[in-house]
Amino acid sequence: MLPGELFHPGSVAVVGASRNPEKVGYGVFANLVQAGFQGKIYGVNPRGGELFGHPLYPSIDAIPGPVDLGVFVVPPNAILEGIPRLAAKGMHAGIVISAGFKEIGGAGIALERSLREAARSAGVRVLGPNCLGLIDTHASLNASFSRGTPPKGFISFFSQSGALCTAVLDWAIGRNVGFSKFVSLGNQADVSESDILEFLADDPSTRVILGYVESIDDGRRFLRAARNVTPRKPVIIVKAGATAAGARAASSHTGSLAGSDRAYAAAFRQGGVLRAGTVEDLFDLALGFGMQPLPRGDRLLILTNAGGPGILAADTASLLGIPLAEVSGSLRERILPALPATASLANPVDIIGDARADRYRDVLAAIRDEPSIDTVLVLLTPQAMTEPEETAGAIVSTLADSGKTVFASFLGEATVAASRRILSEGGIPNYPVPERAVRTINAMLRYTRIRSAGVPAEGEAPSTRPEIAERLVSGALAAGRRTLGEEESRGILEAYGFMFPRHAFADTSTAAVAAYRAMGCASAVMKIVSPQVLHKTDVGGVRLGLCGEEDVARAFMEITSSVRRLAPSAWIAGVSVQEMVTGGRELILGMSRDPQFGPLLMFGLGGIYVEVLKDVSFRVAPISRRDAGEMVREIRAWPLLAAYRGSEPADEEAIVEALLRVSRLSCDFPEIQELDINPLLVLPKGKGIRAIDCRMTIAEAP
Amino acid sequence: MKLYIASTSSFAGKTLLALALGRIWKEAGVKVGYVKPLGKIPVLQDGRLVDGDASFLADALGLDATPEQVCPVVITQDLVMAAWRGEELHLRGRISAAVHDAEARSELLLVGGTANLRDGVFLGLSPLELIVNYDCRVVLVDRFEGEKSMDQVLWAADALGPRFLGVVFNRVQPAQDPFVRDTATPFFGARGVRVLGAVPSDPVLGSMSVGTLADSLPAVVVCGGEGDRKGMIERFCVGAMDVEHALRVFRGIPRKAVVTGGHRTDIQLAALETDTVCLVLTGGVSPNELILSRAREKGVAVLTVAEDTMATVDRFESLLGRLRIREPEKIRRGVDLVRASVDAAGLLSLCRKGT
Repeated sequence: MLPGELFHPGSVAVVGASRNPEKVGYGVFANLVQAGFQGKIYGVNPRGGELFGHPLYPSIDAIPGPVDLGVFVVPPNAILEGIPRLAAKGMHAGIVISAGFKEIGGAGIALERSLREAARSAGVRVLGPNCLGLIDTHASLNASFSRGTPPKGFISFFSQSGALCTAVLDWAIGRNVGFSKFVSLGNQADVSESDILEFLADDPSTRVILGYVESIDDGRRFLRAARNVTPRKPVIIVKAGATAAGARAASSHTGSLAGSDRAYAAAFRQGGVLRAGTVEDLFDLALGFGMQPLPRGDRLLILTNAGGPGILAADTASLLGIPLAEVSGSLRERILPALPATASLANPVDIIGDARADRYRDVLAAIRDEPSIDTVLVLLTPQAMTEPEETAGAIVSTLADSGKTVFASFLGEATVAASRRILSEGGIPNYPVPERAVRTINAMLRYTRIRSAGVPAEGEAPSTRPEIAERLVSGALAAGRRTLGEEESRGILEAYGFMFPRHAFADTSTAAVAAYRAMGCASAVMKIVSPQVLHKTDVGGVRLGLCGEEDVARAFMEITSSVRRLAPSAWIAGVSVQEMVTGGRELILGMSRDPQFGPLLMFGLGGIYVEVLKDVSFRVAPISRRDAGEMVREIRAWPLLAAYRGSEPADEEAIVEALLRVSRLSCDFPEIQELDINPLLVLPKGKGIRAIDCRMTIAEAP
Repeated sequence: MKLYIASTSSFAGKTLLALALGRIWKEAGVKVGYVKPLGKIPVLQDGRLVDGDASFLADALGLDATPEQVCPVVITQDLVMAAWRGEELHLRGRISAAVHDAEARSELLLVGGTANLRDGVFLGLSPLELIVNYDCRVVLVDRFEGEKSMDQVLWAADALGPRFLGVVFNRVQPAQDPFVRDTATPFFGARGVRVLGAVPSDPVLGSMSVGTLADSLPAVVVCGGEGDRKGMIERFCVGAMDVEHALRVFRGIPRKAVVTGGHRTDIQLAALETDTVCLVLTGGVSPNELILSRAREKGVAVLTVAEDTMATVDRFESLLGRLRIREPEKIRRGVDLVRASVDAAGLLSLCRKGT
């Protein structure tokens, strides 16, 4: 847990305060004084003197009183020396603004390690190094070298990029958006994004949390922290490095292997984090969440003075699945007198181009008292008769504090500029185009669902036998095996409740025929058994639909000859004769261990759906039953699994079970690095699933 | 008594077997000697031309003998040219002296053979003739390869007659083990060939130390202390794919060296995330500081080479799979494996019976 002194200290020392306005040490001191911090401020500079009426002390030891928070703007070695000295004066938290650490490589990496150790041994939590600093408007604390201080508010922002911090800050000041805290994380030698998230969860002056993230080192902790905070307040994060090119840039920037974006997407989803695709989205969502109450329901009314923007808004709402509210009879009666005959009373309600402010006001007053509407989006296009400022005033006076969620979109620039300020001062978020307003409404609706869903418990995977899997895994490891084919991984999956078709090993065609006869099934499958052959079909090592003994004997010859020819160095132990399962649909179930988040489960429909369309869903294990259900229904091909065109619906319950079993298996065995069950056949409802082929990669657990 | 250690192809495991049997029998109190009549690995040692393998073995078995006593004839370019020109070579006398000398100083003399039972005929030194002339018993080492082994072993048994004591299969994969035990051993037994053991295929024996790799490439070790230089590489792997795929591939390959471009920071990080012994960075690019510090943390050596990735991989391929036992870790491992899988005592009593 972070010490409260990081954000609301009683006294602050700036080590490296400078009288030279060119220096960062000047900027930090100036911000601290000018933001109106009420506690004690001490500047430290070996040359002494005075700055903004505060004496500068020649050394840390010369500071006359106790210090809660130390801000360092001096070279690295001086910081390492300063930390224990300030700790002796009672310092609980430090902010290291100076650069020259990990980001420069070589000696900087060692310095950063020393910084971490110095902080640990002094019992001090340190933000940075190489950061912009932090701002807490509620404590009138600006311990950063930002330009200006944002207005007081309830949005908090943390960022792994100092530059983005300054951009958001400038936006907040320019748009007059109130903020509570700004935290620039810098290199995260000690304090991480998860620390900040945990702190903000309990911070009464934070209602909305925004973040900019490039990489998360401890993904599992982040997921825990996110699960804990999102039922209480919304968390909106921009994650950079979503593409391969971006991820490569991020990994040479941060020096850590960028985890796959799919893992981040899955973890954000499971943690209830709203992901903003762009910085613009982040601003849009921040406005909505920061200024308006959450919608009480999903019924949206769009009010407009022009057809086009109303249609755009309605389209976006429909695409996102937000229902447009029905205009009730009583509402219709109340607004009818205010409208000309050409107005449209369906939703969007079009009060047409000649609407002045009073027409907006009359209709909005009627909407305010209408219980069947939860959210109102007011659109305005500047036409000849339009009165933008007066209309903005009418929205504020009629709907502010009405209990409804209210958004505005005043389109245009020159004639609506003044009205925007009226809206934002009146607490109404305004968007330059209606689509952005609707997307923000959608995010708020999604958040209401996240909040009410609560934290799910891990789903139970019934009747697993870990001791059997344990023996098989450690046996394979001891034999120096890393990649396990079907024969070696089958037993591990069976121990976790997976069902395979009946199978028997045969080393000659006669034995294969005997096995087929003993199995007594109509149709059989034959597969090569060779430890060197992992992709059996590539070397002609699989034959399906074998009927009759002749067929089986011929398949044996074909398979073994083909493998001899195409993989001459492979050792052929024989073949596996298996019962052919029919009437199922092919699925793929996989797990791959992500460096930051751990086991990442994958689900999709086999064949082109996964390979070509990439139609797959991901979750970080352990998963809940709800997660598993979502994984199944999230893929676009889901309707193919449900009943369609008279085919029986697939056994969805069995797929959910299978996902829970793989989740448990991958959590029980950190040795399993990758796992693929492909294909996994799902039979019609009530008949379960069969694993047809599987492979695993194992390694000594770390 | 003399035991000739023969094989039918190179890198079958003769040195391993000689070393291990020598050590095991020495422990049992037998005075073991070693001689290699014809050496094929000329190495200059203190100004003298010696056979690398033979000198190593003499040293590893703690024999007190000069290199010439251990290996009287080393094939050199001059010797080859002399043979081509039909010159008188006078090799038999040197071999004879060395064998008799070594025999006099030991109770059991191990005679190291050439790669197969024909090598040396061009010098007038047919291995089969040598075996008969010096009255050796013979043990055959064969890298187990299914029916190919059937050909080799049955041919050798026929050629050697009663002097042939049996075969030791080497590099037997776990999946082949039941086959060797249940099918191959009874098969050979029925044809009068004893299977004396099946030494399992072993990643450590197939490995190479970072130091050896750096010396052989050659490469500059930019990161890695003495300890890291001793790390044993079992496989190598080229990093030229995208990073997500890389992680998948790298996980499947333990104790590896990863060859990749010096600028591929992402691949290098992925390699460091998995079981990697050493990074080989190509193109003469000096590595990123972040990579070096991460490698230091994880105890992974980092080598750089001026050549590109393709050329480096070519060099690698010529090194791996044709490895000689030199590193102490491999010696220890090899002796342990032979001890566990070969009937050394049975072989010793067979030798004794023959004399």
